[in-house]
Amino acid sequence: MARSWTPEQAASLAPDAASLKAAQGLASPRKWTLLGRDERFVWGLAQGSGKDPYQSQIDLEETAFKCSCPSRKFPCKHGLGLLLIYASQPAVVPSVARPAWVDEWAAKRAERAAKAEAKAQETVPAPDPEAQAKRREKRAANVARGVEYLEGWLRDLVRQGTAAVQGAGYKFWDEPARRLVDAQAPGLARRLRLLGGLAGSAAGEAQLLTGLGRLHLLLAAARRREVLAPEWQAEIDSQLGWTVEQDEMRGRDGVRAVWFAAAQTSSEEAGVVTRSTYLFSGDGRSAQVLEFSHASQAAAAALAVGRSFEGELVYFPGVEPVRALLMAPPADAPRRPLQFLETCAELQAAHAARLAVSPWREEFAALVRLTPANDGERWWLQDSAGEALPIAADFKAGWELLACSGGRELEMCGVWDGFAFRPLSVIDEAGATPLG
Amino acid sequence: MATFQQTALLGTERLTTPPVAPHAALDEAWHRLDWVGDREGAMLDALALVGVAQAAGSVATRRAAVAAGAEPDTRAFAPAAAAALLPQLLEGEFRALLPEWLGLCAQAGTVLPPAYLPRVFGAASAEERGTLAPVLGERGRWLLRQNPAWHRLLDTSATLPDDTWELGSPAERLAWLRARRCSDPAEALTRLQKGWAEEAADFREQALAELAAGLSAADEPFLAGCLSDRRKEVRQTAQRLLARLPASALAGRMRERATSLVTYQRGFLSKRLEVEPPAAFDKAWKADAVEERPPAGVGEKAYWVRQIVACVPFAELRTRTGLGTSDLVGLALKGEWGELLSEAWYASLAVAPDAELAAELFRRILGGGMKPPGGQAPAALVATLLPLCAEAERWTLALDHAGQGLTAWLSLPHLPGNPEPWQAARLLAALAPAIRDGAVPGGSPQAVLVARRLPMSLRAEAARLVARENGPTKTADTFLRAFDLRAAMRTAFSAKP
Repeated sequence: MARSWTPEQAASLAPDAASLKAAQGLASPRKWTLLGRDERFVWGLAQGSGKDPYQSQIDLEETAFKCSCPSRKFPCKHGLGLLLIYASQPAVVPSVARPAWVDEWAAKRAERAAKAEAKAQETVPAPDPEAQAKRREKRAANVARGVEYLEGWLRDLVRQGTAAVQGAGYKFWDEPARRLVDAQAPGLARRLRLLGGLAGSAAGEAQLLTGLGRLHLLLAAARRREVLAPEWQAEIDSQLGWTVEQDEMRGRDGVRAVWFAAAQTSSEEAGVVTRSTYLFSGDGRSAQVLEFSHASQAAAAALAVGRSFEGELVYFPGVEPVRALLMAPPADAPRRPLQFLETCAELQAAHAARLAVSPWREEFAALVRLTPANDGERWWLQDSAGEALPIAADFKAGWELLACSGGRELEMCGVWDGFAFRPLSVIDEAGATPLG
Repeated sequence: MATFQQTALLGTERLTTPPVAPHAALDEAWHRLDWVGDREGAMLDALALVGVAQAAGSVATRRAAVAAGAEPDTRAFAPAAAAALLPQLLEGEFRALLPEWLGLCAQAGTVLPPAYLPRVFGAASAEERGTLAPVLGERGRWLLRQNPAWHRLLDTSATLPDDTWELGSPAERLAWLRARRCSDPAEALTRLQKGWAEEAADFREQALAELAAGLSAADEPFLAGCLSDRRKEVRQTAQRLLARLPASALAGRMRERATSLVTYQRGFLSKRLEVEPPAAFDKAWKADAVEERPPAGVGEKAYWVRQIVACVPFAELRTRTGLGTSDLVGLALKGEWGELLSEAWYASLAVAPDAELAAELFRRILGGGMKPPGGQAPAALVATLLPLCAEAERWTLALDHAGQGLTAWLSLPHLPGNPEPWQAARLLAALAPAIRDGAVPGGSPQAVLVARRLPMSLRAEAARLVARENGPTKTADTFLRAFDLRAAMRTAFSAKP
């Protein structure tokens, strides 16, 4: 059966604010000369500026959009508007037989799915071990050079002192970051750029020092990679930014469970949008699924916040890995009771335990049941024992948090980094509400 | 000795003595750092140690227990589909539809969903307090009290702690006074009087105005004392409040003065309304907060008369002369005192609202037969007069003047719901051309206001009237979208949860 959508979930798919506004303008039956749906698809004809109306359609099962309009946004305003109508006023979208153009797309999708299935079944030809080893060797040599270079750069930095680079500007950090990308270590480049963003702000000073320390630890570990256990090698590889092939992931054991998509964040870098979804299962497991999309490319947005589904996750290799890959389209399933941390001490201890295993697990996503409070200057999360942890200073939705709590304990999903908690969503019986 | 963080800031090239471990827990690891042979390596290792240790070893802050939370709500929260429409109504062109949403929410017996409360509070104005109150629920009422910036929205049913008057912020204290004036006017007055002399002038002015609610003869002694306040605005507020109490000494004196100043003379052939300007300023007037010095450009005698006449309800003149409102205004305009009297009567509406007088002034001023008192702009006139007119008459007044300038547009916010079908159709017919051509004064928000005033049954007719061959203008599109939004609100609130 097709999953149901809430208007908030639909709105969360908007690629930007302008698209959402345009889509809200289209979220009215008056804008459509035809609306229809069946078990799997929703479709409509929207009158645009051209002679023929645009054919807009949505595959609800896989949350895929198609529209005959020339927009390069994805989903386009028509698709999003159509979903908004379906979500907010399902009664105006009658259940009728598919028109030919929907049938056509359905057939194409089925064909593609069959092909993908067939390809997955195919035995992957064993890669040429010799060529593979050669590639690996070359990459290792490249990275080793990058590591050596960055170590020297860091030494220079601490010799001069961080005060000397506070006003150094973007280029100071970007230049070495580029060299690290060339050295096939994009993970190092990413960390370096993040540090560049902290330098120069008084509030970022402590975080900058901590970040430099972690980066140094990573370099030290990378140099010793060969003598470490396989899971540590994998961990370091992932920290360096090496991706694991999909085929290799397919071969790994997955974890089947009913997962709850508790929160989502997204960030954009160089035209690529990374959507990160925080999943939790009833037995206390958690995972983070990253989805990447281009403005011009289809976004697989199946993991809307508040959705509960049954599915198999395969964790990326590493030490107590958090990142995982969803192996098949998720299927709706009733939510299982979730486990929440109820004291500050529990949250701190769980985070510290992760850090003890790997110093690069700096961000700890957790479900907490704590009471938000405000002292006129900043926001806190307090437990029944009277202990409180600070909420991130730049968190904007403190009053929303207080409103949802009513001055009592509130179930939330958020990220704790050892210094401040950043709430991402409020969890309630109906699902989860993202916090702005 | 420099701390570790200072050392990191200054750089190892300036290092003279090795820094001390920032925490005893790190001592053991610290000893293994080679601050002599490999300063940079030691510094980087130390940064790693300290950073990870700080993240893992954060210390929670002890805080006092959180104050009492909100009582559970007995009513359900508005359906999600209805709530999802809210963000569009909080700002921008559809803002005028927010009161309708709030009204539907109340009608459905539901309250605002918590997550939306802060945004609604941020958008709502103090005038919308009454519309907001029924849908606040326990949660909303509780939350309003938590943020001083929202206290302007506290309504009279809000239960503020009893010591708010002594301990609260100015906004909280006013909210307390407003609420207490409704539940126990005498007690509110007693508390207000207690520290009156020490209050700031601004606060005295605002607090005194709150006495309008629950006003009674019991307030007279205190108000009489305020007639000699240092601040002019306080004196005048006290004067207006006393004038509203027909049995007050001030009201009696003012009535007497007005009777001798404004006389109705009946001859064989003509009736006249005459003003007998006073020869000099009577010192006794000063004790009743009549100002002696007029503002620039106003004659002093006219200024005195206006202040006195403005303190007397217009109804008094009707009784005294046995004439109707229309006759009285007509007589005044025929005589040489027309301008002075119309200004005084216009001002008297603030003391004693009078629907007949308001309607008469509306007709004459906006019909062009009378100069606007005090040179008031049409917008201000409509906003003052129309709300004072009888609800049933407001539509007629607005429609009768639809052809004149902006009157119909300016009237929109003050028209009551549920007009007669023909009235709604006439309003639509009068305003549709401007909407169709995108020539609406005030732009799309005004077009939305029109849509808000019309019954949903006129939707098709509205679409027909604003259609253009080459597609609708942006204003017309917004106008029709307002209808759609209203329809969506209704669907969302009537859906079974």
